[in-house]
Amino acid sequence: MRWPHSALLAPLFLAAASTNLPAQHAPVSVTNATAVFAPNDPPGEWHSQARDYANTRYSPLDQITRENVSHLKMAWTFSDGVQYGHEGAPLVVGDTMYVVAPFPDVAYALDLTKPGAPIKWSYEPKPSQLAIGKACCDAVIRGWAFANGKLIYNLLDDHTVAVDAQTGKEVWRIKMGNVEKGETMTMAPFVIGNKVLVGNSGGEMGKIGWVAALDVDTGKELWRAFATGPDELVKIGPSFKPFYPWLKGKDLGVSTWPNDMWKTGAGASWGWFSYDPDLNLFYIGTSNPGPRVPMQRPGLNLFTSTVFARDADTGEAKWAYTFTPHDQWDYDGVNENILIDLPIKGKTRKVLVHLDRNAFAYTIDRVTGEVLVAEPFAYQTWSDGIDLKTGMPKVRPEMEPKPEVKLTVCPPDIGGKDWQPAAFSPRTGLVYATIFNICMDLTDHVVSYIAGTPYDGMEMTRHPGPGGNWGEFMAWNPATGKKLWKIDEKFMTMSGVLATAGDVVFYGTVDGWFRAVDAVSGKVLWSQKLGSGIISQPMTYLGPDKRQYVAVYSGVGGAAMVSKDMPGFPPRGSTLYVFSIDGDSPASGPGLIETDATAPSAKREHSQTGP
Amino acid sequence: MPRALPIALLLVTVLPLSGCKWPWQTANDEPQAGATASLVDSSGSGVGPPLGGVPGGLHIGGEPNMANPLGGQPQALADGRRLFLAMNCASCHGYDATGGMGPNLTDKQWRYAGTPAAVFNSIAQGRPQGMPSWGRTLPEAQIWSIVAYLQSLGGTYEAGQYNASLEGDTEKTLVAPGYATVEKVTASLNPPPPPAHQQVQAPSPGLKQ
Repeated sequence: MRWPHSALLAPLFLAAASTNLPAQHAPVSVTNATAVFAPNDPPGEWHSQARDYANTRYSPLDQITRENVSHLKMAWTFSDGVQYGHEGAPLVVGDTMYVVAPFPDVAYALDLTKPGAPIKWSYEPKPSQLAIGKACCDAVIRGWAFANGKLIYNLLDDHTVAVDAQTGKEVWRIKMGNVEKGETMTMAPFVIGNKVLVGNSGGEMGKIGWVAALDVDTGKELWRAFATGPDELVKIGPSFKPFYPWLKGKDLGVSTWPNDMWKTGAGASWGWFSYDPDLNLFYIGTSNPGPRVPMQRPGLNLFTSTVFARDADTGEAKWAYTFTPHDQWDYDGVNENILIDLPIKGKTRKVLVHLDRNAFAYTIDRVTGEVLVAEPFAYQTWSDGIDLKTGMPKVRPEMEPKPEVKLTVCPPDIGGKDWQPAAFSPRTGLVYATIFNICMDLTDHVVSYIAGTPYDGMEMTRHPGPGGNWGEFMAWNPATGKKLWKIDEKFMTMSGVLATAGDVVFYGTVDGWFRAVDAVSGKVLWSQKLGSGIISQPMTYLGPDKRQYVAVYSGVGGAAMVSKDMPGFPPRGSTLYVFSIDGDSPASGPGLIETDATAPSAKREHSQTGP
Repeated sequence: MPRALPIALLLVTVLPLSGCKWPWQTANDEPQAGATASLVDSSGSGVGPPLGGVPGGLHIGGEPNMANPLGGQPQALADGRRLFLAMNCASCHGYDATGGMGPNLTDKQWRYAGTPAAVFNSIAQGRPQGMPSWGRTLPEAQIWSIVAYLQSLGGTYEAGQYNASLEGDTEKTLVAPGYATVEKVTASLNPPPPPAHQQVQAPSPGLKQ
């Protein structure tokens, strides 16, 4: 096979920019926070959505730096032709890239060893299209997982599938729920050893929330823990030791609800898992309570809008903390929990950092569930803050919605930040996130539960908060609960964040701008307009040519559609963009195809070429 | 009485076909299994209005073009709006019916045709991408009242406009003069439409010499 010039030169280029040389102006860490990067996958690969168990979304690659990132150009693209919102990150395992398109959830393996990354195989699971009408927030897929030579992901219609990564043949498929009843699955499975963890969607459909562990090789369900109900269902037992007294007691998942309303109480786990291999605990959040009309369900509504720490072998709950007890505004608790070791108030503690829908950024001791910091990162009017002594929010009574009475409250249902995950840099010690500056006019309507239809009741219009910008990208200090710098964006910002050892952080906007930012100063170093809005997660990898690439999907949809009436809001898209310095790659350049004009003269027979 | 409603409507999930009266029913309402827009025509052929175009170029009259039997009665509009909320239609299609989880119902764009009868059928039968089937739960009169409410929003086609709906024509659509000539020429390839009570004929296999 012939390779163009630039790929042959790449190793020379790389030798000059050796990763062993310290970067210029290496940052001084603001917090001295560190992270564990287990399972320590090869630095040039990306095996899981968050890159590592801790959910840092940080890459050790540093060919792309603050000095050269302005030379990023498109290297190649891939379109999957699907118009629903694109939210997942490609995986790179060895020399193959794996992507799964939104509904109907077709998977593609792309061969990175060949120019243009051609399709090695594709797999069409053919899920039921009934699921399209049961998904609250677009027929999306938020990611996929890789384990033991298998690509594992959820179909929108409540089946989890495993596909042989070499051949693209289905290995197993298991039914996890009933889509007719309004349950769907959109989340990215999470692998711990020989188990894969999955959870459901359906917080707006009255579907009781759950997380389950499946055997990676057979798909067999090992256990399932629910978000509400008696202790036995929630997997609360003798080892459950929540930090706050209001989370202690028998069958709180029943008694904090009227009558049997826990059965339609939601608490779906449609967001992110993270895992501490030393404590052997995984962390997962639950959605809002159902129905979305709080007056119908007095009580703390446990354990919705909650983060659970659970034993990775058995699923038994070790502790829980509820961010928004008796949630009244749809503040799901499903956002990612980034695990770092953080010096705070003179002591280094194992914490999780969680930027919640309710607009508060929490730093929580991940061993005990004690809240150390809870400060607003976005504009909010629903509370007077979180009382660190009790762990309870101080809800403003005038912000509690009453049916048929219009109320303006910030943040809106989709929060100060939704599922789009933040990243952590161990070099700056900071957390970087795309957030929202949005408020809502809300009118609640009392609703009844009709299985298969929404159990909802929130009538809303959203508008930007103070300043008029819908979006913002910011750097956050999890020890002090303070923002270091921010970049206001006219359109929503709903992309994941990528942090790199080159001290560049990447994010995208809903109007299609993909940006590279100096992780220290917050200066935008490079921007590139893509075909559609960006609500996916950027990632980075080394190609077989040992060149660093950055990849991100463009394809607006999902919750970004709340702003679809903005002038200039983009249409849908379905394209993966892969960038490199100068756009160099084996995918473009001269000499990629043999033609007569380049063949030996003995082959030429046409008279048009002259005597 | 909004508070009674949730409890009353919980019955919907446990008494689907028992024939019990729902609390909001009047004496004249009776739920009918598989209710659709008077699918069976008077001849008893049993073939309901089509969802798509009919091969052979037959022009469809009759049931798909029937008017909403509740007309524009104000009570029907009020009932329809109340049911649009109570049955959770608003939660999928938006409180203003401009869409959300489910499609926009105000924009004259209909996957399954937009005449009152076609919209009735979509509600009664359900549709494959997640629209539930209400025909076994709601009496015909209630479904017609929901249709009446949707008609009042301006996004449906008029009764009698079934083919216009399939063919993408709104009231502002001009018709090119040559269109009629094309129709006349190609109509001569097929026999004229049979009376409603006869079987559908296959089109002639080609031009006669």
